[in-house]
Amino acid sequence: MSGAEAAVRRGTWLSRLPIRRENQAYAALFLGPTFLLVLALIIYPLVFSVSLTFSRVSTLGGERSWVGFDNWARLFRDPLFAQSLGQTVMYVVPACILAVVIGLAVALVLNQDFPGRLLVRASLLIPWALPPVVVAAMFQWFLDGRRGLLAPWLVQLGLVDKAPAFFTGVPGTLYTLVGIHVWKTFPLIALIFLVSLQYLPRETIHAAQIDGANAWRRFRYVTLPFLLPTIGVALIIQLLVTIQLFDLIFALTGGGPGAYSTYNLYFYAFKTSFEHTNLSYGAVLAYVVTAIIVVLGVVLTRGGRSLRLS
Amino acid sequence: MAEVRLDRVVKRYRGLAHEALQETSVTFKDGLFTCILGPSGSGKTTILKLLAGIEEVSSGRIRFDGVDVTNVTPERRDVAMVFQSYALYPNMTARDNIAFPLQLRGLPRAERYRRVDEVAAMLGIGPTLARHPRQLSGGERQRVALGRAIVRDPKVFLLDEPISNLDANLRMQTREELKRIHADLKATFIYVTHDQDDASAMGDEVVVMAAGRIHQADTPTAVYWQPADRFVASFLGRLPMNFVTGTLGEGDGSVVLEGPDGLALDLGPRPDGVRLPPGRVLVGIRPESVQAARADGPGPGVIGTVTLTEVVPPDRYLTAAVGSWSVRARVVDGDEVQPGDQVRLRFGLRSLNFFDPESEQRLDMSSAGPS
Amino acid sequence: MSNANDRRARLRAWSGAALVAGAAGLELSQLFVDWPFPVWAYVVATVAGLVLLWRGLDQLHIGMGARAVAAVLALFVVLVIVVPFGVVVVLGSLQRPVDLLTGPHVIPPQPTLDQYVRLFNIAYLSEGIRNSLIVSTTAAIVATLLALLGAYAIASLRFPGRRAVYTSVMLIYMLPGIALLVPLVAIFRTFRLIDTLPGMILGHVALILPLVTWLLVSAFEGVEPDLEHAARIDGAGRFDALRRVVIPMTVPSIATTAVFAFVLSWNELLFSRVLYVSSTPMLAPSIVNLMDPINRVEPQLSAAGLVASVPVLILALVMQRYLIRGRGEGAVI
Repeated sequence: MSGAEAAVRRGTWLSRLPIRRENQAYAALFLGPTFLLVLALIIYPLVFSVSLTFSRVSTLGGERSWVGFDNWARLFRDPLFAQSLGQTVMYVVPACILAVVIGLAVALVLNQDFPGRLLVRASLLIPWALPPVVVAAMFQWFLDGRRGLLAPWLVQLGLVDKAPAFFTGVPGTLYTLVGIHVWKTFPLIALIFLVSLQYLPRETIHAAQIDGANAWRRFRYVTLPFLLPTIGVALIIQLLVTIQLFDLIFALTGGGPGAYSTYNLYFYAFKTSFEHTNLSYGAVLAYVVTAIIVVLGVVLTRGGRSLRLS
Repeated sequence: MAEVRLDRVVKRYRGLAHEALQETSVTFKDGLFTCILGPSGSGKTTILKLLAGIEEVSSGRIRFDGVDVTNVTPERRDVAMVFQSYALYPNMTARDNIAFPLQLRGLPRAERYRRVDEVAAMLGIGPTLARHPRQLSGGERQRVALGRAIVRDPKVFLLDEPISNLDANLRMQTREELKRIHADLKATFIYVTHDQDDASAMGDEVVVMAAGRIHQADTPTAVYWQPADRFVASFLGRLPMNFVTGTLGEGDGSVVLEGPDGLALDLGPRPDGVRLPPGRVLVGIRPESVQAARADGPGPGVIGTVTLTEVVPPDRYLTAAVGSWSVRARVVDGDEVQPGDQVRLRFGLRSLNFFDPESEQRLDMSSAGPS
Repeated sequence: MSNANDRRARLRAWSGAALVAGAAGLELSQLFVDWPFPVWAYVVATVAGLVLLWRGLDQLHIGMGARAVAAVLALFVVLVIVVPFGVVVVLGSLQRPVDLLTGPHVIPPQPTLDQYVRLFNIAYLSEGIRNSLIVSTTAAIVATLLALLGAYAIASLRFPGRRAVYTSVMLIYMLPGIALLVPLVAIFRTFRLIDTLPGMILGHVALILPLVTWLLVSAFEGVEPDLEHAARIDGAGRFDALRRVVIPMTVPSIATTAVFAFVLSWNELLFSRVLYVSSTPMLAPSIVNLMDPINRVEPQLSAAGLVASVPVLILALVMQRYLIRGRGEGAVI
């Protein structure tokens, strides 16, 4: 038998399919399980909650009645919705600015070559790796009024006149949470910048040095423009992460102090569904959060990409 | 041995307006060493990928020895391929790299390693077998890649510019070895390259391609001395070909080419059996076919003024201006020619290539053929 | 470079270093002693010292000034990161609750490992540790396996809708968990998966699968396509090529991604809290339980926190070489 025929004979049954079909068969085989999982546990729940938003349900399996757009209309009358939304912005804006500025500064520092640099870089992973609840517990003690260490230190170092109340002020507590959140997230931002900085061509810096630019000028005219896209990416990441801030609020303040001073929209949705057991309105709130995130995510990534191309 | 045929094959890539391979039919003859020669983007690597099965044809059929393999997945085609990047598996030793195709066919280990040792001996890479690709030099890696292809004794050998990354000396040595291997294995070799020295050194046949189209498929000498169109004529050859457009006329027993700006080239008497094409023609003349001698010497020819001299061993060449036409010629007499000197240039009718000025196709000049 | 210049530069550098060390030292010592200097004096002194240090060193060796100042600032960064954790969690777990009544201490006056022993007497904590270990390990492995196949398909196979699948992976990852949770609970109730380990594992897998897939697509796209082609031409079918060539080449990326998946699952709070009723406590919600003022005993909380942190910290440290890749290696982060 000729070589060509012998060759064509070998292989599993999938190999015997024509090229295009073989590709598609393997794609179905490899993506199938993932697709099924996603369909069952992500797509279907999403669709199901749409129907929830148009009903009135308090417990699953309980009474269900169709109420049309009532739940959605409630959004406009609900003062807590407006408050949560506003407070979400109060979380997001400082968190983004602080994390990006601090992260950039730390990346610039770590970009220099000094002994122990790799050790410092490794320590950046600690806040990222720590479970958020542990971070919450840690700062709960650290910032405590009576038993915490930071308050007396601040007083003794002369930075403040009397011990600040980290967890009892309004809106101070919210900003405390922002601070803790920034502590947890700035290292990741710093690492993103650090990776980007490694792509900055050394020759450009050398050229600037030869042209007589000092460190500040080199930063402002060479490094900063180069990093603008990365700044955009970091802002987007931090934005999307902070909108969904949940663990710290749940663990540290439960939404208080006071009635709702540390609520954000995500937490409000959780509370509504799982503690007020108003599943339908909770679903509405969840959809609002989802919409905000998806729209922002898509718009910003597309916008960022076209900005980069121009 | 296998005859490889492409039948009206077209390849279009998604999202690209132009075709990577225009409708092409070509036969790679059984047991021959065929070189596909062309610049980058000509579609030569595309043909190789289609033959290997790692790309799918957009239309047309591919046959190996008459068997339609157009839709057959690569692992079942029994072709071997040597990549330009060698594509050695980094996590395996050289021995395991070469043994891999045999391992996939279920050969027992002892048998596999025996075959590997045979091939390694043939290629002279025995000592490198225990090392990993990253520990090998470029030349050694290339031989391991070759070994991996040889060990299966395939019917069709596909090679994608395998020696372009080697230095010049190694390249020459490898060309000889490849010819030797081809003679030993008697398989059909299809070798893609942009280097015409590869083609002339190794090819039994040369297929010249550009912009997704085959321009000529013929022996290396035919492609060089009887190029099928302007592209082939200018692509082959170490020095750029001279071109001029004009009309041919006959008078005083001599053929004269009348070119632009009153240029009149005496081409000598018309040989028997040669018919002059009417109208305008595009003439291509290889520099080595234009003879430059001292202006005050005897013989027919046209006088020109030297503008440049150069040395392309073993000959000396000069560029001369004849009116507004610039022509490169080989120096046959007058070693001390300098720019500014006058020289006499002789053209022989037989060594000229005539093309249609619009289609750039070769014109048939024999009086036996159609007009 | 004349000797006089050198001497001046050295003087600058030393005085700068002295200023910085002095200012920092004095400021810190204010924790124990009262100095009359206002805060801004320390700040000015430190900044001036740093500038002097920079300028001085720069004249001795180009660029060394920046490096020295960077080292000083890096020290500060490390302190900010490590001090809260080290003092509160590590040292704090060794404190005796009774000592806390006399005010905060950095160093426990009478360190004891008592809290760790007691940890295991608290049922929901020890069960939480056990459950989280099981769930996170299983979820990480399952998610990585599924994602591996899916990512290979997206990266290397040609099929209609490939681009759409890739973008939808990203889109699905963006969806917040809260949007899925209620209906998911409904589904789990129907299939009696609420409050079971398999249910918890399933929920976690669904949560982390999109991101894990996306990471692995990047890893697979980094493999030179010629290698796969060579394997197929050599006679390997898709699965063989994946198994014998592609995967061995991407083992570091796959391992890193699996670690990432584990960390995501281990740290997860929302799903773990909601999918649990009484029999499958997970570690994260259990710690929240301990934070409740009714249950709270600070050193105990610290001990629990340390135990909860150790696995992820160790994993992060071990994989940090791969997690922070540099140019030309394809970063996971």
